[in-house]
Amino acid sequence: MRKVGDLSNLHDKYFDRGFRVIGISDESSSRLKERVVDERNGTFWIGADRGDTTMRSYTQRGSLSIPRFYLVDAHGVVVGSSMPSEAEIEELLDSVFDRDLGRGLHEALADVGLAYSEGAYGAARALAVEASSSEDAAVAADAAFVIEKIDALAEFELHGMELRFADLSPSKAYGQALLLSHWYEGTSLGTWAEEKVTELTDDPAVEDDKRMWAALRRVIAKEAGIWRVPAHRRDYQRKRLAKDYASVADKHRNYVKTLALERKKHFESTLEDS
Amino acid sequence: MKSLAVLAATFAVAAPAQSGWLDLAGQPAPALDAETWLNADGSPTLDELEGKVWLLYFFATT
Repeated sequence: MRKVGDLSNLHDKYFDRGFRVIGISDESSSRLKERVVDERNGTFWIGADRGDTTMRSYTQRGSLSIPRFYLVDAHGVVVGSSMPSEAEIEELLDSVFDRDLGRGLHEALADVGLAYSEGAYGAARALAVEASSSEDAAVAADAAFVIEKIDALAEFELHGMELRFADLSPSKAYGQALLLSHWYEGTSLGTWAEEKVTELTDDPAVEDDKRMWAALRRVIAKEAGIWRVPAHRRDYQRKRLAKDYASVADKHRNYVKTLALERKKHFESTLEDS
Repeated sequence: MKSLAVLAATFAVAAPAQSGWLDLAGQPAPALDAETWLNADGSPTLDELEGKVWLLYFFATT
């Protein structure tokens, strides 16, 4: 077993910057706790994969030498298969996008901040674009900061999106693209997602469920409206959206139903938070 | 022809066994799954790891 201390040190040293060491073994959790956590003070995450579920996803027929490493970047893409140096980890961490705004905003941009924190980046950007022409220089500067941040986030996400989409079925790709085109409206990722929607519209798998998709699409299009009403009316809007999504989920099937249920849960949870 | 046959035989003997580990360079990392997790809060998923850099380490304690 490689030095548990070295891996724990890396995991701990870079944890706050978004680095994780994830150990996988087919041994029992009690044995792993005893041998790695208790005896060697291992602090990295350890999965007891007794059924070899993870192992099977990373292997084919052939000899398996242990240990084996896979280094994965911030887009979820495998970029190495050996123990990385700290310099390699640092380099990858430099490209990690900090999703937090990182600073407060002028109070006139409170809604922009809220929309951003909920992941409604397209809505947040649209509001920020309006505010960027404010005569108040502080408001305009904060609005420009948010626009820049959202555009950078969209670029970051776009980088890994094509790879992720390559593995999706046409229906899933279409559904994800629909959501992304709204969530990131006005950004490079939003434009890319719109192109995907157009590209996939005629795919037989999507064409077969055309009416279901149209129903879902109508509700998705209403999401940005939350940020166009006064704050005291937003809970009402959220309840309506949850209800609309529930209705789509009740009437339809396949991936449309899955997405509708996910969005219903999302709006119910934002109601609980508010 | 004889030399080619010798060469082929040499390579046949010298060729290492095919590694069972997939070469996934440039591809999305497959999902993680385990019955029990230690040191982690809950079960790490690819969604939760999005935006993070991580090192997957397959190991045995013996």
